[in-house]
Amino acid sequence: MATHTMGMPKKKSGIMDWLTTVDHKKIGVLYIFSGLFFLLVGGVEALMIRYQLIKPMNDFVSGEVFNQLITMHGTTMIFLAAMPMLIGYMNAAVPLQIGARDVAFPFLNALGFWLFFFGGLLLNLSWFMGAAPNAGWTAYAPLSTVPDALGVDFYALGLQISGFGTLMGGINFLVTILNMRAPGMKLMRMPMFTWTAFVASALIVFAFPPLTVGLFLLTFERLFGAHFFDPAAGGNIVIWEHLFWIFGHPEVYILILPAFGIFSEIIPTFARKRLFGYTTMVFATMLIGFLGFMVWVHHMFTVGLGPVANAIFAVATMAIAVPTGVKIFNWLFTLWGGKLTFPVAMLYSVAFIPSFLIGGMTGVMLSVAPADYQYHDSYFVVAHFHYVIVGGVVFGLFAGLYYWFPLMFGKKLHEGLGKIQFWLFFIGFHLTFFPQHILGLTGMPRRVFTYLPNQGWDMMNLLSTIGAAFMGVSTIILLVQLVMALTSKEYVKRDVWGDGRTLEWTLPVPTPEYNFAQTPLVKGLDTFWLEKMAGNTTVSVSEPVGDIHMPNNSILPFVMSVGLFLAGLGFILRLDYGTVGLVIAILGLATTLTAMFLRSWIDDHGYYIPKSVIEEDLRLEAEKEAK
Amino acid sequence: MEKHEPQLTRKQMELEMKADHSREMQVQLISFALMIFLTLIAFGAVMAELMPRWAAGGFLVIMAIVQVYLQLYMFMHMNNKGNTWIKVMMGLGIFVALTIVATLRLLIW
Repeated sequence: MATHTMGMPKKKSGIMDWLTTVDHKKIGVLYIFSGLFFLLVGGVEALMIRYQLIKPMNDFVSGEVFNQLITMHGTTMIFLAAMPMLIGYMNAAVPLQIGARDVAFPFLNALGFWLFFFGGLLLNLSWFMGAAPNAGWTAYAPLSTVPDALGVDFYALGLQISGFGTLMGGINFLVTILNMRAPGMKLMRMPMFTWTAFVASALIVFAFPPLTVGLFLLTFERLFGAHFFDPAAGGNIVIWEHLFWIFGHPEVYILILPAFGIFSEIIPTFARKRLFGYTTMVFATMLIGFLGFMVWVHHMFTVGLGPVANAIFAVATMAIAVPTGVKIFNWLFTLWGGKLTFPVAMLYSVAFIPSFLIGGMTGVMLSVAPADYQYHDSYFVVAHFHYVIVGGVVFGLFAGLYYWFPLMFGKKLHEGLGKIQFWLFFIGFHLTFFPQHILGLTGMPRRVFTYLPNQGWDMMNLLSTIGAAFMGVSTIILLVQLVMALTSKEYVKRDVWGDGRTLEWTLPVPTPEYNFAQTPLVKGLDTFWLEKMAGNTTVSVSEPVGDIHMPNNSILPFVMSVGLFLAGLGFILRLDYGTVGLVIAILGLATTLTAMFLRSWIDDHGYYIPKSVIEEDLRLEAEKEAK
Repeated sequence: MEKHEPQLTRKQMELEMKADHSREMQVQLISFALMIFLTLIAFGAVMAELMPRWAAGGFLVIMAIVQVYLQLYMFMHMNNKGNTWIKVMMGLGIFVALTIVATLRLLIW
């Protein structure tokens, strides 16, 4: 090791540091803020949808714009808001929870983020090019293959690029969790969030390839004159639906499992009790992940695949209720007899249980194939999936934000405002989506831009829109809190919640770039809690202080992503502008390939933080603790 | 920071590595020959038209499975220790892919 005498690189400042960073903590912050930005975009789209539906025969937007709004709302929320924020939490928490200094592939991590970001940008650029995608977030063929507008081209290429990024993230976390655990951190000692991140990453690795294939077929159909979905030329339109849902169903588990993980961290922390039934929790997570691949046809019951296919997939779908029920009971039993406190993170976790349960029950109703013929394409379905996605995933995102914000920024979000934010969101959520069950059962179809008066739908639609306004106000309060927290100078102490159970709370505030000065030694599940019970203030270490190897920052991930973004844009423009588009596309691809070549060509061994620097950090930290 | 290897003299280590290497090389060469032989059989079976179409198809699938096995275990060191998770993941991937293909086979084509 003495032969490596690579000096520490010069600190880059400001924006350049964020563009080149390969530090998982900073990439986590980038993911979360980009996710929040897209959450706002998707939220504004949602408010416009609800405002259009506030009364019968409203003409706030045209039918065409409405179609664009619903398409972009769904796509943005799933691909660009919920998933990136969850991957952000994985970045922020997983390496710290397993006692690692970084993820397995820091460069790939940065590349994953920038691909997602530029994919999202390409998708949203469509608003400014006069044609947002308008074929629904599911983009069913043959509607999505109609060549009249550019919209779906942005959908296909934007999602393709951001999908590459997600796939890289999935691979990265699988390898990180399997290979980078601290000594003593056996699989069955991993915190629940790490477990769910692991299973969700496996789902990403298996579920994204079908989407990639589907999007390629769609792209070739639209841009290069292929006929995969054209029955007249021997194609088959149902192939798209299958490919989309083979991906799409695991996708909802990719979203909900990490959210389950977040609740499974927060509930034991604020109940001061070990998670009830940890082992069953792990197996339930794996079972949900596994069964998630066996149920995609329940989105297609009305396609006409026959009673045998419908029956098989209906039974498989109902089976998923079992491990989910196991989880619900485990959370309840964790709460039972605990010494409970209710900061905002805990409020969201407790509110999640009944809210998600309602979504789960309507899910079982929908899984009954004959009944689904009635519910299909009605507002009942809209109510169901918003109950699971908002009541499950978004509550999880907010809970995680309040819980881990001090870990990421060394400051707390304002608890008082947070409580207002929670109650507004909770009431608004139920007010928006509960009436939609009734709308669906009384026959209102989804994806209609307006409706006639006196069908018994006016009141429920009005209530639903009022609820949406509540959620809008709540989100504004969240933004105020974020600005307040980020501009404040009040730093929190180590182990901010006082009863942290897992390794991330043992770290000093702010977390040093190398995370752990000495790799910890893990003695069991919730190892920090075990050490506290044994009378220690911090966890044992497994190595002496030494030099720490760090990866160098790199601008290449950013350049590669810009290249792919330009290539996508160029191929879309080629249809209307011919050569100009082609030139942009070729330039973009050349940029990406050059960056990839440089990445392979340049030997980058990283650098070492010398022992002396780390000893100094440890000394300063000890002084701070002593005060 | 380096892991502590059992104490061997330099000479012993070199001999050990050489032995490992030649054993490895033998396995690789044998499996390489075997795979070429199997490929020839597969081609031959079809070209000689000894079997009806459906039987030839089934035979080819079986041969393919054998080839995949050889690839993974002889060439790509799947038989080495520490590959449990890789096996689990590949198994799951194969299972998911087969389920999907079987379902689509029944429902679409």
